[in-house]
Parts: sequence; structure tokens; C-alpha cells
Amino acid sequence: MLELRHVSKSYREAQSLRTVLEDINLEVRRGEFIAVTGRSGTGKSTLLNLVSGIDVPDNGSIVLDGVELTALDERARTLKRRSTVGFVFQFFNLIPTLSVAENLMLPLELIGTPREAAHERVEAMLARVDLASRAESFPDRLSGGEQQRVAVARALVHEPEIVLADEPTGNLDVETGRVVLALLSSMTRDADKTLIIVTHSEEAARQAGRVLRIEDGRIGANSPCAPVAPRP
Amino acid sequence: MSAILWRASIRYGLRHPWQFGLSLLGIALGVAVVVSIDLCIDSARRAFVLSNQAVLGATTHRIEGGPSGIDEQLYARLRVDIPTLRAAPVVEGYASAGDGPALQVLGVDVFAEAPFRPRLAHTRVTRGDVLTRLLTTSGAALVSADTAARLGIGIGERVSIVVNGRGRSIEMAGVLDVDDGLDDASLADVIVTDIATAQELLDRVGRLSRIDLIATADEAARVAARLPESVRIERTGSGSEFAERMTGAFNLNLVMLGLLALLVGMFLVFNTMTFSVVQRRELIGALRAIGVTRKQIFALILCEAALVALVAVVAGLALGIVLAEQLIELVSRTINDLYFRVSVRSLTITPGILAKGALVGLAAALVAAALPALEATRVAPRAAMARSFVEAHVRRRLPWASLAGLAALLLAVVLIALPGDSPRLGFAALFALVGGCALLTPAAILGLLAVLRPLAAWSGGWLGRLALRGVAANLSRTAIAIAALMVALSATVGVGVMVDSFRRSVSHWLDLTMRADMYVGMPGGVGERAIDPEVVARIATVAGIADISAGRGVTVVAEIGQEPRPLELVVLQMARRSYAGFQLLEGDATQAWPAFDDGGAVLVSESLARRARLAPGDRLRLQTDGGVRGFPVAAVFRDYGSEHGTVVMARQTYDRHWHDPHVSTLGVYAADNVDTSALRDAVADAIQGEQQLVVRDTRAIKSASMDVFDRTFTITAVLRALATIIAFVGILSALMALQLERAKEVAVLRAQGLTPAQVWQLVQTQTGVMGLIAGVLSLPVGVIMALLLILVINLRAFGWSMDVHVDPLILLQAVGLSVAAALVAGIYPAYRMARISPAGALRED
Repeated sequence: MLELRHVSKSYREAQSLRTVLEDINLEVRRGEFIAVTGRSGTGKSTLLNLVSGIDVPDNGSIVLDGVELTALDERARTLKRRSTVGFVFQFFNLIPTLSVAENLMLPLELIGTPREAAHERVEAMLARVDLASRAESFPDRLSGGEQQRVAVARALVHEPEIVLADEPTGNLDVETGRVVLALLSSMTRDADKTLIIVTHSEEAARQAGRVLRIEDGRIGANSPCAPVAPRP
Repeated sequence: MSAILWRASIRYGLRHPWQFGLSLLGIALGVAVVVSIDLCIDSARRAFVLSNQAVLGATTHRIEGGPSGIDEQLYARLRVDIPTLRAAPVVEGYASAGDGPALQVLGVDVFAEAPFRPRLAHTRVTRGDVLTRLLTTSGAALVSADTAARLGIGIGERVSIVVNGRGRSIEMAGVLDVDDGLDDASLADVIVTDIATAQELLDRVGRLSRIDLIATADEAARVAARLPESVRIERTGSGSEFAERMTGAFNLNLVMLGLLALLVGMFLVFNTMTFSVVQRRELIGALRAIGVTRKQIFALILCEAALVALVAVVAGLALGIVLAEQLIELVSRTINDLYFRVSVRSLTITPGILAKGALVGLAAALVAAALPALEATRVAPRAAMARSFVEAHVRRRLPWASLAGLAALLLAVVLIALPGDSPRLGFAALFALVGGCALLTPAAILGLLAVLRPLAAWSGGWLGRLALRGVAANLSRTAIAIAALMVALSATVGVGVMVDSFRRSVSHWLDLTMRADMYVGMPGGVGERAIDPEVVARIATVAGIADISAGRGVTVVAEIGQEPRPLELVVLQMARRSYAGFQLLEGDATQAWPAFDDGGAVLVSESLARRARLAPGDRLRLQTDGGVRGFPVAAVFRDYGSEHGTVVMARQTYDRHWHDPHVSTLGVYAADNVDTSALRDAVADAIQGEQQLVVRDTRAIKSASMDVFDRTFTITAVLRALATIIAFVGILSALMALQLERAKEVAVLRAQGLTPAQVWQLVQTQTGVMGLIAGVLSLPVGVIMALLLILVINLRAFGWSMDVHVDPLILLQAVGLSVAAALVAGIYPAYRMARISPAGALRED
């Protein structure tokens, strides 16, 4: 499903070069739930950026769903991301000028889903996250937990192969965070989708089948790539 | 484009109505100014062409003579020699009636007219009774219904008119109505008479003004072979070329001022779109993360700009028509004052001009939005781009922007240095200068802030320091607002200094030129003017006169380049003191004056010397009554009388080559210790008689001349004011964007104990500083713009050099206006900020 080979990434800061990720090797199978942990600034989010094709590594190769991302140009990576990746952000990042239903329609429209099918899919997804009654509401009328549930639905509505979540519970209270994480986990599991979350939460990490701890730009020794733990 | 994305954009616009509304207003005003100027120029040109068509009709060639016209026997001879020739004699001149515009007297041979002026033939002139009255009644004339109403006459009634200072009367024999569906404004203020009546009215018995021909090239050649040396045959045009040649430079200046207003409007679009991108950077980042391509983001921002521009253009076109209705009088009055008689009764709304205005507006908006749209595509997916990163990005690019600014300034220098006399290159340099200075503005702001910092700390304490820091910290926003205001103000300073320098030069020139104590001439300013010789003789006998200069102004044809060109020839019998009235720019006075007085040489005005590339020692070829003759150029003199050039010739030289003994004006010099008002009364007594003459006080003439000058620049002042209004809208828009974006920051300050009054002080200090910086930066830019206008553009467009004078008051006014505009623009944002609820603003994020 996902394969990273000798991936490195550095950023130029002032006059110096800061290595964020160094010689990362990782293999992820379909349906896996992986938690990426580590201190702030250790390269967790950079890893998600590279996996989604938002950013490109300095060295190494990334193969996502059978396509080598590192061989694609920016536009092709965007088109691949559009169909293969779903995103959940810490601050929800819903489109404030679109209703809840329209927010969900957008990824479907981008991949060219016929209107009728898209409507059915949105309705089903909203029902799944228990927000059918808020379909016409705008994001600023929703609570944080509701917004994140919409974001989860948006990430999955177009049936991507992999969902990337960057601190999906970081902006929520413990209880709401728990609910959102459970929803994200169950929905990806039911659809047999791969889920990678970046988190500081020990509790969230415990739910993952595998935990990758990133330290000093490398995957830590206590987080072996294999064997793969079963999904809870 | 995704329909949902499009919907999101429209809703974003609707949620920020003031932001897009102000941008819309800016571009609408810019389009309105451009369209109104185009409509005015086009309406004036059409009115001139129509009236020219009414007078020229189907004429292909015209036979013309010198100042005294053509002997009417020539017409008869040509008809006999070439029986198939279609020719029509014309006697033309001007009359006045009351305070209204001058009336054009057009004397025609009604039997020869039909093929020439079918529009006249379609009028009731063809009816038998009118025809008989036209041919048999003294002073019988046809006038249009409008003109008849103005003169207050009906058919069969008489009205008094003044021709060449003499009272005459005409009888309205019929109405000159146009029934071919064309605009009857073309016949406004035209009196059509039989040729003999016109000769009588205009004191030109036995003479014709011209003979119109409808002739093939072969026929024209046969006619040319039969003409005496004093007469020439020329092809006629539609009048459009003439109008363009005469008013081209004036029109170009107006168009460029309009474009300047639009340029300021472009800053508004740039500002709004940049702000909308910065404001939505997280949103754009999220869109990019879920798979929206860079191209789609670019198209989205451009489409937003296009939508705003579309609404703005529609509003701008409507506003442009309304504005043109107001400006048309100013434009046509200037054309009448400076170039030719034209009666613009109504605005002609041409679809082409509206389409051009719409295209220019749309293009301006899209060009202005292109950079922010490009910026939007660079927003990192996942919205990691914080505001501080945006500012850091701007700071990083500052050296490049400054370099680009310097490159634009270099381009301006290159454009000026390019060979050629086109003022368009000068205007291109002007726009490069404006662009370059706008790009250098951010760096200049940081420099000025460093200078202002100690002052702000001293006068405003920590709030002053905070305000200044706010300007620097938000450079991506503040620089655009300051640059927009700076551009508009520098235009105000530049045009202000230019007009002031021009005014002073003209005033000085009038003081120098008008040396006599009083002038005797004809009332009214149009047409042939000749003072009776006996009146001249009577004035010469008045006691207390030290000297008299006699002038004669006529139009002659000069051979310049390939085309024969009409030129103003001023013939002078100079008084001793008159010589000092000429400021010689080229040529040695000690040699020039003897050559002028006795050697048959002429003086040429600066504008003519530039246009015809004449210098002392060259020869100027003029059509005289004895054929074309070359006259040596003795010197080049400063003259602001005509941008198309003037030739000055000594009376005795003129008398040798032309059979025209008339005098048009007399300059009377009082003897020492003579009371000039008493002398004026004595001269007024001496000119009493049949011919109506006036004695004008020199000061009154100067004052009237300066009034014409000021009228000419009224439209310039209006356009400058409009550009400033657009800039005001710009700074209001930028400040609103800036201050409202900082709601969170202000909320934090309020939470920490800042009072609403202190918020007012903070916002107003910040906007005041921005206004001050814009004002200060506009001074050097404005002065350079003035130098460009004076030393390059005006010189190339009009051929006039002038002394540069920078009035400190103009500079002070600019800075004052800038600070005031910024403070006024800051009122609403300050009000909003002061009322902000800290809890609400902090909760929102």
C-alpha cells in the first residue's frame, strides 16, 4: 500500500540546513492503523506531507498505492492525492463558506463523481457521523467535535485508500477526542482503509496497530516496522 | 472550475461586502474616468467632422488663395475652360450676435450646390419661394431651428449681427432643417446665404474664400494648370485628420490622466485580492491538501477578480456616461478656446468606446489580480503558512522588489533617451517611473519608519512605538495602501507643479509680450478682422501716444514636409518697445532683428521650430500671392499662443509678397507721464464710427488670457481629484483590511487593559503615519513626474518649453491631504476596533 525507501528531507533555515527526516524506511499494508508519535519538531507532520505528495523528499522513493510519488510532477501528485488520500487536520479546516453537505460534496466533485451518486454518498456519510440533521448548517454553527466529525466524513467520503490525520484530537477535549478517534478508527477499519495519525496522545497511540516513534529524524528503535499488529 | 468552489468564492465575497465593494468602487471609478474622457473626445471629434461634412459635403478638392481670398473671375474662367467641371464657389466668414457662440457665415451658389452639399439641398432651400427670397432679399439667410430659437427670430424676421466690427442684419428666409436623419447639430450656428449676400455681409465683394470641386485626378490636374501662382488646389479630407492633428496632444494628455486614475484603481484590486488570499491562506492550504490543483486555485482567484471587475465595469460604464455629460462642456470649451470652433450639443455614446472601456477595466482587474492569484498557488498545502511566514516571505522578497523598482526607473530613463519626438514614449516613461517608485515603496517605508521611530516614541510613548511597529510588521498590507496613495498624490504634485510652472511661464510671457498700454481691435475672437485704414489714421493723431504697433493675423499655407500645412502668420509693424517683447531662444538678436526688419527674414515660434525642425539660417517656404517663396529664419522665439506654431513677419516683408493692406490690431504705447486711462478714453473717442472697435486694457487682456488658461486646466484638476478619490478609497480599503484582520491582536491588547480610547489612538496613529509616509514619498516622485511632464512630455506634445517652479505650498498641500485622507479613512476601522469585544474576538479562533 505504502512504501518509503531511504527517504530524507531537510529544510534550509537561515544559513544552515536542518535535517528533519533521515533515511526513513517504512512499509505500510492496506488496512493498517499506524500512530506516529514523537516530540514537537521531530518531523511527524513532514512525514505525512511526504506520504501525501504535498512535499517531496530530498532523497529516496515513496510508492503510494502502486504509484511512485517521487517520479510524479506537482500536478500529477495533486491528482493522485485527490483520489487516494483523505486528510483530517487538527484545526478541522472546513470551508467556512460551504455548508456541511457542500464540504463533503467538494472531494466528490473534484474526482468527478456524478451528482446523484455524490448526493447519496454525502447523505450516507453524514448519517454515519450522526450529522444528517446538520447537513445545511455552516461550520461556524457547529461545535469543535461536530466540525471534526464533518472533517472525518470529508476525509472518507470519496473512498480514499489512505487517511492521514494530523493531531485529529489535538484541538478537542478528552471525551470528544475519544469519540472522534473511535469514529475515525472504525470508519477506516470498516472500509478497509489505511489510517496514519500523528498524535501526542498516548491513549490514541494505544489504539493503533503499530506505533512509530520518530526521534531525531529517524524511526526509533522501539518501533519496528514489522511485525504488523492486528487492528483493535 | 468546480461549482462548489465557485459557490464558496461567491459566499466569501458576500461575507466581506465592504472589502469587495471598495475594490469594485475603485475599478468602477477608474473605468468611468477612462470612458468619460473617450466619450468627450469622440463626441467633440464627431461634432467637428459632422459640421465639416455639412460645410464641405462631397467636395474632393478645394481651391484656396491667400489672406485676401480668390478673385471670383477665376471661377467663371474655370467653368468656361472646363465645362464638365463640377465646381461651387464659397464665401466663408464669421459673425457674432449677442453673447452666444460665433456664427459661421456660409455663402453658396444655390444653383451649383446640389452635388456638393446634399444635406443643404434637402432642406427647404429647394422650395421656390425660399429660393426667390434667398436670391432677391438683402441679407436673406437660412438658419437651423436651434439657431433661430437662440437668435429669437422666425421666418421673415430680421436680426442684427456684427461682422468685422460692423453692424449688419439678416432676414431669416427659411429653416435649415435636416431631413436625412443625420444629426442636425452639424448645422448649429451656421448661417447659409447666397454667395452675393455673403460677400456683402463679409465685405468681400468680388472675392471668394474658396472654390469647392468634385473632380477626378485628371480634372484636378487640368485645374491646377490654369491657376495663378497665388492660388493652390488641395485634396480635402473628412476633417477627422485635421481634428486629430489639432487636438491630438490635448487628447493624449486627457487619456493618460484617465489611465493614471485607472492605475490607481488597479492598486485597489491588487490590494483586495492580495488580502483575500492572505485571509484565506489556511483555507487555500486545506483545498490544496484535498486535491485542488494550483491551476484551479489560480483560476478561482482570477474568476473572483473577473466577477468583481464585471460588476465594476457595468457600474463604471454607467458612471462614465454620467461623468461625460458633466465633462463634455469642459472639453469642448477647451477645444473652442485653443483649437477650433466646435459646437457639441450632445454626447455621442459609441458602443465601441464602451466596449473598449469594459475591456480596459477587465484587463486592468485581471492584471492586478494575477500576482495575488499566483501567490495563492504558492500557499503550502495543509495551511502551515502562518501570518508571520507571509511577512517573512515579503521581507525576503524586498530586495528583489527594490531591484525591480530600480530596473523600472532605468527603463524610464531609457525610454526618455530613445530617439523620437513622440510624447507617448514620455508617457510610457512616466508609467515606468510610477511603477518603479511603487516597487521601491516598501523599502522606503522601512527607511522612513527608522527615522520616525524616535519621534513616535518621544511623542506617543509605547502606543506610538506599537503603531509604527504595526506598519512595519504588516508590510505586505501597509505597503500596498501607501503605494496607492503615494501614486495618486505624486500625480497631484506632478501635475500641480507642471500646471503652476506653466501658468507662471505663460504669465511671464504675457507680461513680456503685451508691452503696449492698450490694444485696439475687434470684439469677439473669431474670423477675419480688419481695422479701417481711416480709423488707424485717426488713432495716430491722438495726443499722448508715444508709439503704435500694428498687427495683422492671417492664416497662410506653409510647405513643411510632404504636406502643405496652414500656419498662423503674425505680421507686425513694430513699435520701438515691441522688440523687447520677444524672448529669443535661438538666434543672435544683433543679427536677427536687422534681418527681420530689412532682410525679409521671419521669426518662428518654438513649437513650430520643433515640429518643422527649423533653426536660424533655415528657410521656411510659404504660399504667397506670388507663389511659394522661401523666407530665411532669423530666430526662434518663446510663444505659448499656439501649439501648432506661429510665424512672425515684418510688415514690409508681408507687403512685398501679399496684397493685403489690412491691420487687425493696434498696440498703443502712452508717452511718458501720460495718464493711460485718460489716453484710453481719448482713443475710444477717436475710434467712434461705423466700425465697432474696442480698446482693451492690457491688464484686462492678460487677465482674460489667464482665465482661458485656467479654464483649460479645469478638466485636469477634475481628473486629478478623481484619482485622489480613488486613492482615498484604496487607503480606506487597505486600512479596513489591515485593522479588521488584526481584530485578534487588538482583542489581546484590550484584554490586557487597553481602553477603547487607546485603541482609537493606536489605529489613528498608525493610519496617520501611513498617510505621512505616503505624503512624504509622493514629494520626490511628484517632482520627478513634474520634470518629466515639463521637460519631456509637454515639450514633445506641444513644443513648449517652460521654466520649472516648485511651489512649496503644493508640496505642503500634498502631505496635508495625504495625512487628512489617511486619518479620515482610519475613522471607521478605529471605530470598529474600539468597539471590539475582547472575549468574542478571542473566542472566535
